[in-house]
Amino acid sequence: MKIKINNKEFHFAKGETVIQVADRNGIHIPRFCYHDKLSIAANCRMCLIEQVGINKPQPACSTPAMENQEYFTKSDLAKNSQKNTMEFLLINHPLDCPVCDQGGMCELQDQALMHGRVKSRYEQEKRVVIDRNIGPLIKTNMTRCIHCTRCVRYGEEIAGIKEFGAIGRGEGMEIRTYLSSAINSPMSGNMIDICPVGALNASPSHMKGRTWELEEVKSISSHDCVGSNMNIHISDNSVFRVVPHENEKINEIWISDRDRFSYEAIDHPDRVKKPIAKVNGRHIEVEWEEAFEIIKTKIKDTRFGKSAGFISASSTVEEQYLFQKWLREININNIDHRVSQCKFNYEEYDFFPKLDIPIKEIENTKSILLLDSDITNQQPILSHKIRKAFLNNAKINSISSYKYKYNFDTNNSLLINPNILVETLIDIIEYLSVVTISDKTLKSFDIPEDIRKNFKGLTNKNIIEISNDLLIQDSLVILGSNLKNHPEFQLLKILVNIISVLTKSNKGYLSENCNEAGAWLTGCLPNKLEGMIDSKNTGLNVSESIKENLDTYILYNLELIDFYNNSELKSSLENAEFVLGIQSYITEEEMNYYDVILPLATVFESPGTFINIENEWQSFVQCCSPHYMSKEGWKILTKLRLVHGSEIGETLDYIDILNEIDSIIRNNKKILDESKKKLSIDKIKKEDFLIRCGGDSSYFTDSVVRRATSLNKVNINKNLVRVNKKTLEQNNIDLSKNKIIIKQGKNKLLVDLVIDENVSNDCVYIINSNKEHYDLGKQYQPIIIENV
Amino acid sequence: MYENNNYNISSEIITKINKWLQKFPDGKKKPAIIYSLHLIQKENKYIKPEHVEAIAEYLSLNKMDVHEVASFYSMFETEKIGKHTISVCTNVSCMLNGSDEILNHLEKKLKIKVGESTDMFFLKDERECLAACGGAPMMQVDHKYYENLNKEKIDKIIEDIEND
Amino acid sequence: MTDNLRLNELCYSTLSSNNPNTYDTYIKLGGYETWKNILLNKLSKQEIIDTVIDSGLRGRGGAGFSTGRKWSFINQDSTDTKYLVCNADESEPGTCKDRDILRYNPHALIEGMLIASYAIGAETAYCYLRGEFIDDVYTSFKNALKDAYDNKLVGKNILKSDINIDIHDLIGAGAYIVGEETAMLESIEGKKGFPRYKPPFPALKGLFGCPTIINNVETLASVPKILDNGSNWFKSVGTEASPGFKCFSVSGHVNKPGNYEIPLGTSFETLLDLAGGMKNGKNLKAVIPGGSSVPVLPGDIMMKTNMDYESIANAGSLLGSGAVIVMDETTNMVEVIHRIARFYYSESCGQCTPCREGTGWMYKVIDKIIKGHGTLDDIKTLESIPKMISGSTICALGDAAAMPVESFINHYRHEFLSYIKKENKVENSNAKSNLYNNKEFVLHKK
Ligand SMILES: Cc1cc2nc3c(=O)[nH]c(=O)nc-3n(C[C@H](O)[C@H](O)[C@H](O)COP(=O)(O)O)c2cc1C
Ligand code: SF4
Ligand code: FES
Repeated sequence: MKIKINNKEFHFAKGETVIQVADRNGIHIPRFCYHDKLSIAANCRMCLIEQVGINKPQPACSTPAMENQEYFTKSDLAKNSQKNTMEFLLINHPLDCPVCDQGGMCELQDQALMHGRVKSRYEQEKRVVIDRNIGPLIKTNMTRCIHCTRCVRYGEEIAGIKEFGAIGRGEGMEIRTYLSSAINSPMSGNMIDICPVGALNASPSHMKGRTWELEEVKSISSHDCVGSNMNIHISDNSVFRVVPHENEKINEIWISDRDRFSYEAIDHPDRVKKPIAKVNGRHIEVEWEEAFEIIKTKIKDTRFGKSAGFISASSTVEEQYLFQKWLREININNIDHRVSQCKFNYEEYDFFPKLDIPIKEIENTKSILLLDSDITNQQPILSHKIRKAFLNNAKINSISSYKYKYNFDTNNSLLINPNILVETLIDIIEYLSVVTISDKTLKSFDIPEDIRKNFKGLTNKNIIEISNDLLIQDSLVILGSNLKNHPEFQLLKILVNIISVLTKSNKGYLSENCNEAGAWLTGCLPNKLEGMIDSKNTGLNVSESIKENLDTYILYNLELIDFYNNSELKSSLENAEFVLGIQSYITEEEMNYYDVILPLATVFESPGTFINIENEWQSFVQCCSPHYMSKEGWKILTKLRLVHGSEIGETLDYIDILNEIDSIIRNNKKILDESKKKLSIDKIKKEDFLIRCGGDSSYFTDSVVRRATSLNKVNINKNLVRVNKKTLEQNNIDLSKNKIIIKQGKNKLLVDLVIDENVSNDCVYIINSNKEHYDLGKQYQPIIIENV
Repeated sequence: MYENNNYNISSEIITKINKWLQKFPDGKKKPAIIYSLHLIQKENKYIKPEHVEAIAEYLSLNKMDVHEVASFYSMFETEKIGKHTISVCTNVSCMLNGSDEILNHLEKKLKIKVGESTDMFFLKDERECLAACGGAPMMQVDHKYYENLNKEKIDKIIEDIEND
Repeated sequence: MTDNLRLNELCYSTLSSNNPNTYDTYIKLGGYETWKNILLNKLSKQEIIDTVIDSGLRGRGGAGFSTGRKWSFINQDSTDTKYLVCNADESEPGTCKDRDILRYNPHALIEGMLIASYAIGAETAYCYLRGEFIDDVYTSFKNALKDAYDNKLVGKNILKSDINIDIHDLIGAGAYIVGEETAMLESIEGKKGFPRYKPPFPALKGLFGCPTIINNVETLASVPKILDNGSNWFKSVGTEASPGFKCFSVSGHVNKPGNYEIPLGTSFETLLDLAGGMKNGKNLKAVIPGGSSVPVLPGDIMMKTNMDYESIANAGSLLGSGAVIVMDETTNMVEVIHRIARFYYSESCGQCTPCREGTGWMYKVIDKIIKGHGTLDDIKTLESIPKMISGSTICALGDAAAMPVESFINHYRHEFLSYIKKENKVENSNAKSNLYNNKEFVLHKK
């Protein structure tokens, strides 16, 4: 089928609009309300063009292309109509481009130059709209709003959380939030990008610089397992702002607020500015050479066997590779990155964070089961894909300890105590084993006897429905990143694997960190070398290393609160002979545990590579040179290898490292396979204590995000806990009081109480982020509640 | 401490809303917004945020959706107003027949300006034609029509309401 | 002149009875016979649509599109749910005809809705009444609907015919724009009354995404009698292109304002006579012949014009909804357009740019002129804004706001000029000019 635009013929597909055909063929039609990711609104009337045979101008954005129709985008009718619209838009729009953030990249400004009249004939008072404080991320200048409703549609359609609405009518219509409430959805920043004028601005960079003074660098986000692509705008060796970089396969044109605003942490006061060493019991700043000298004398042969090194799963592939390389070269095998894991059983299974299908494919799945996953907050981009699947009529179910707020609806959302999560999955397996009994393709698959032993006859209707939904073709089971703290994390992964085999579903083990896959592949594990080769000298895992009270501990890009059991860790560090930290940030309290701290460049100041959940390797360059006296991780680690006599030569540069990694790991990737080894599971215990649930706040995931000032003002996490009424009553809590005492481990805290039926029975929901909660420990641990 | 809002929709209104929902295809909840706002406004005289929130919660909708509707339609009042609403039509047909004098008379009589309220009355200058042009000038008091007005007639109507 | 005029024979036919709105009256006058006949004889849908097409009935809501043709746009073969919507949002300034049908002949409307639903294959019909009707008019219609249900003429398996048609009454909440058909669909769906862009047209994708026909109250109330008496009966009055009867709401400076249902093509002079002639014996100055959104015509032109679609169009205006606003020689035309412009300014929904910004701009310029601050340039600007709005908006409200302004300057330029020359100025007496205020929640912080 063909249409003619400006006397040229173009093909079009059924359902396409004229503007789509024009865009595809490089014909420019001005627009404000139209956006190819949003529904058509046709309200700005900027795209009016001439359709031959019709005397009224037609909006190109909402006019379906029709066989043999002819259009003119620059005829008198078209040009006049566009000029008229511009004049209308400008009557109430301030002409203050020089002081507007959008100046220089403003669609209105561009169009005004191209289509506007030179002088406004409008002399009456302009509309002035009061700006309201809608939170720390978006600064509004609503007098500039042209009512295109892109932001409203973004909320309704993309974010799934309608935060902006158009209130009132006519000229008085105002785009605003409900009762001026703060914007706090996890992807709200994208509205800044899609707003065609300077009405919505990024608060942190508001009025701080001009577009044309910036340099743009492409980068990869480091705060979840998605690896969103983004462009970093640099001015004066500092990050000015972060915007999305289009990648249809991953983040489309969106990024989460966390990725957009985390850069504010770069110059946080906690930054380690210079190497620090403990001299005579006091921490003082020293030169790099002095620091290396101390390390050389302190970490020596006699101690190698009694040392351990832990690295963050948010560090780059290069750092992880060099870290384990350095330690193994000096025979330190106690290497681990799984610092937030509780138990280390079933180690023979190679479970590593991954999604069986490409991220893009999530939107085409027909059924999804979420296991204790707060995905909308924790992996907003993945949640967006699930939302798309949902809008495509996929059935979404969830089994969780808290009824998380998703930006899609669930069919069944089963609230259970995390204590019985294993049991619940076994129930699902039991049901599936019955319904798939005649499936020939499953003949060779045996459900391990240890699991069968726990079959007990099924009654729960929800479980049956959830299981049936998984039998739909193109289904997906997602193990939430919260579960990394679950005592049976490893077993859960095995059970999910069995379920996925039985239902032919895909599965995804999500991780909170951006490069957990990298940590596995580079061998940051006690029992695996780079390239996932089994190690002959198996070391101790993180939990054993801490319990063993070793002589030396080396922490790379990790804070003590990242550890599952940070109170045990603290006492081990206190008793150790030597503790080395290679860190970007340090708090005064944590500083006391270290003997030497080397200042590490942040992700913005260093090149690197991250491997995301779909096993996509994405490299990025350095945005700015390291601030203060910090150095890039790869440089520090290379130097440390040299300090300990590694024969790599002084001239080793970044490219050499990349090549080495490429040849050893990337091109030699061992196919991962959760082998169907014989399984013997421990007896499932049923505990009857209260359990803590609720993971980390999404603005708490790593040391950078924790220090991003604006982000951390979004949801000021109060010192409160949520418990449902039944649980409170069973524990004889006085419901009329607003406070209770909680006890976890050795710690005790007075907190505000919220009665919340979204919490499952026998659970106490605490979001980890408030400083006061740091010492309590992690979720899924026993907890006690008492009256004040 | 409970987190839910502090307005509970009465059970009579809930029954009415449920009945209203039956007019629409299964699962469609939005069509009940306007009617719910009418019912709640009737009971409370004007719409407060907690009403909007209560409706949104009851119909499982976003409160913005309810707020948008409440702010769009001119019959929904969002500020405290008097017990009775007087709307004088001031559109063309009524204007030609002296609606402005009617309004002036009311302003003087009630000692308030258009858009203002006493405890008893809220005076509204209705820009929309109220579809009683044949009886111009006209006004509505609480949506009851009073047509072919003159000053004497108005005085009587006001008196009757005050004495009621 | 008005003696042998056929008056109130169709939609207002119950008016001559004592209790015009009761079920009994309607039945006594032969009501619901057409409907029963259709059910009994299982008349084909096509037959009904053909009769309506043949009768030449044109939509009485304003646009005057052939009703039968509109019905035929519904794809009868599709299995989609179909809806009928009756537009009882009557709010075009000057119009008050539908209110009287709803109050005095609601059963004709109900019967019309049943027939129309049957003809287009709809099992659900909605009658959307404007919010301001919530007390008197709505109650009258609801009672009638209840009677019709009680007599099993509406509902499931009507008169054991296996035919199901439910009619639901709905109520708006004050917004002129909701009279526009797609805005009405949005409003029924529980949203703000923002008109939809077209295509797709409602007959393809309307209410809840399903094929939908929207008709005006008078249009639907005309249907039963047309089918009952045959299309020739209807065509026997009126003109060739505008056959039948039409209700006219006459208001303004006349002695007997009100609704008159007369044959189309009747002269304006006769209609004026019917409405008791000019009030206080003044001379006729101007007439808005079809509701405030159509161009104004000077009295002398009107006195030579007949009341049908074509004649009025030839005279330079539109028949619109049939609201005839009569103005005498004392009328200040700038004040009138100031009032009309204020109306469109406060009723623009705000969705699309030309209407949102243009209605305000026009009003503000007129306001400036009327306050004595106008310049000649302002008149030029005022002349050009309607041209900038017309044809470029999502719905016809833009045109509706533009047309009167254009015509008032056209015919009464000298009155505008007198303001500019400071011969005339309105302080604050009649032209209240307070701007439209956005409603705002008073924040009650918890
Ligand atoms: C701004 C605007 C307001 C309208 N108001 C009404 C109205 O109040 N009543 C009505 O019946 N039609 C109104 N219409 C016309 C309707 O859109 C539609 O054409 C009509 O309901 C169709 O019915 P009909 O074919 O029976 O005339 C309005 C149109 C516009 C553009
Ligand atoms: S704030 Fe921006 S995106 Fe939202 S409606 Fe206004 S101009 Fe459009
Ligand atoms: S881009 Fe087409 S109307 Fe806005």
